[in-house]
Amino acid sequence: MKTFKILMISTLFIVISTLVVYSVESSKPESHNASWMKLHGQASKVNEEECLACHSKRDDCIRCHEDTPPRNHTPSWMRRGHGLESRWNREKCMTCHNNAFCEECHTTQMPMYHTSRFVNGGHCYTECHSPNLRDTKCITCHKGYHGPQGPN
Amino acid sequence: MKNKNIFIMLLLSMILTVFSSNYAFAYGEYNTPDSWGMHTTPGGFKNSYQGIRLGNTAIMDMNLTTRFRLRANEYSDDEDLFQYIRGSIKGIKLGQGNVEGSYFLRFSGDLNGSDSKRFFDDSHDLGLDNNDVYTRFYHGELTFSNVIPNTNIVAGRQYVNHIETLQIDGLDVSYEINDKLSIFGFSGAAVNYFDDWDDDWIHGGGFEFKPFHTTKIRGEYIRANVEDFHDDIAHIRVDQVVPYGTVYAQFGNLDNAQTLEAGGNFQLPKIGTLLNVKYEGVYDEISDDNSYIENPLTYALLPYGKYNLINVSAYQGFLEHFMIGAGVEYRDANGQNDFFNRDYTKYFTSLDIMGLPTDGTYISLFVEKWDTEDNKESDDEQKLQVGGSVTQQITKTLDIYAGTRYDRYKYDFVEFDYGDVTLARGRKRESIRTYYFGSKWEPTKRVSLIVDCNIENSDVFEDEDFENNYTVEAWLNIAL
Repeated sequence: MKTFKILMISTLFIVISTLVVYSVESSKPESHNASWMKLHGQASKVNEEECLACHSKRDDCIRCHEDTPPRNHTPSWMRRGHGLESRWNREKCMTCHNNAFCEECHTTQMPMYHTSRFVNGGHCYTECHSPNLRDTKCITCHKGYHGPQGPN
Repeated sequence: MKNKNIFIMLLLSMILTVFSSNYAFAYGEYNTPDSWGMHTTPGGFKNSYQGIRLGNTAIMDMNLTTRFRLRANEYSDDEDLFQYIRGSIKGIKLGQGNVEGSYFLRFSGDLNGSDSKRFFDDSHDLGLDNNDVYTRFYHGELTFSNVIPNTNIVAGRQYVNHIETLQIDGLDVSYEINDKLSIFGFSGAAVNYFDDWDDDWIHGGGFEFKPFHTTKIRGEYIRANVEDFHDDIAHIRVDQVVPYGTVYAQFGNLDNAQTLEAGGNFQLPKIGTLLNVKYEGVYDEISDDNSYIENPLTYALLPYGKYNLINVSAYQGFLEHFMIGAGVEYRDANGQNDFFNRDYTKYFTSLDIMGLPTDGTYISLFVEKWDTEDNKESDDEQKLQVGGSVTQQITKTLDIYAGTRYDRYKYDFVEFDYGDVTLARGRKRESIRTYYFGSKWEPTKRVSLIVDCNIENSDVFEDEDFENNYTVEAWLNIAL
């Protein structure tokens, strides 16, 4: 009985493993390999016509680079990841974003913690009077606070 | 004992499977499944390759995509609907040449309107402010090929992409002088979804020279007149096909700042090796006195400092089903390190398994470590990322996929209790765990449906209402 059970399990495993005959069907060229995600940008600059043969009118480029955020752009990314990684290597951000995109939030939308209590006093004694302004989050939006134009 | 026997049998059957399956990373078969891109960005368009014939030569196609997105956590939720319309008409004869047109628009709106949904505000939601429908016009262009001999004219909203990619409302004209040399010029209004662009203009011109079949040399000059900024941008680029690969070098000049990028990609199919090398150099600081066309995020991140960066990666296939990859990226801020210009070393390694345990399986495992060095304004900071993804082809029309990722950040923090004027400094270690799964079903050449779920468990928020974040997307494509 025990041997039979072992044989059944093994047979089932082999059947599942080998009888599914569909290959990883792909109409892609072999250049679209495991490293392609990192290389396709430069490759598209060599001969864009080759890309456009399948990715007509750059629709797929637009989808990933302008329209649909990547999977890791979650609330945690907005809260923490993007600030850290953009100052480590902003080149990566520039693959999709330009300055106007940053300004969309950093000059027009106040962070959630800018409550009335914060705006009406608390902040003056803390962030801006930190030993080094660059160590604070204020400078991300308020570049000109100590400039000739005053607060902005 | 019983469990041991079962384990041995399973191991033997697995080994048998490994050596009996027919192919994978052998014979130059390196490519990933069609739905592989879902692991990076959820969703996808379906293109029409058939279209509808109009008259003797013209063919028209139209692609409709409806996308639903739900984002939710314990505190809030947000539902958005996107409608994409893409299409083209090709093969219209005019004189000795052809005319073709294409367009791509997106209409989107919020399906719910609670105030708390502002937690999820992104560029889409900000674009919706004060509007019921937010429209993005990605491109709409007419191309006249050879209607004027040896001339290609593109008119309308378009992506100009000779070296630098720019989006303009205008004209791009190319003229082929002979087989080896062509020249081009373009002019138009700058397109920007986040700024007022009424008075912003971009003009440019350049050449493309192919002295040999394997060599391409391009140069371009761009003048950007944007929001009172006047930038002069120049690029020269050389691409060369060499045995087993390609190499390139691109020199750039933004006003007085110079940059260089160079690299090479090589493939040795007989021994299953891929090798990639890249160098980037920024030789002069770029401050915030440039337009958004070329401004490297200096408003948010202060001047773009000098640096040199080298990236080397290699992939090796073995045992037909396996490919191991490893790489390193080193960035040197040229002694000008500060809070926004950092030295770092990034390492990664990956293992790709194709065709195991079934021929329709593709598995990828990866680890990435990012070590940012300390400097006078900041201590060292780190990121560790570990993840894995699986795509399984169930039938010829159905793919399913799943993946997970663990991200851990270590960094210095400065926090404030605004009421009690408390300043706190320290070192923080936060992690984010992500799980996702989905499927892509293509019952016919004209219809596809993608359903995708993404779950994030995170400790970067103090409030437990934000600890778990869920995103569900559904994409329905109809290609006419």
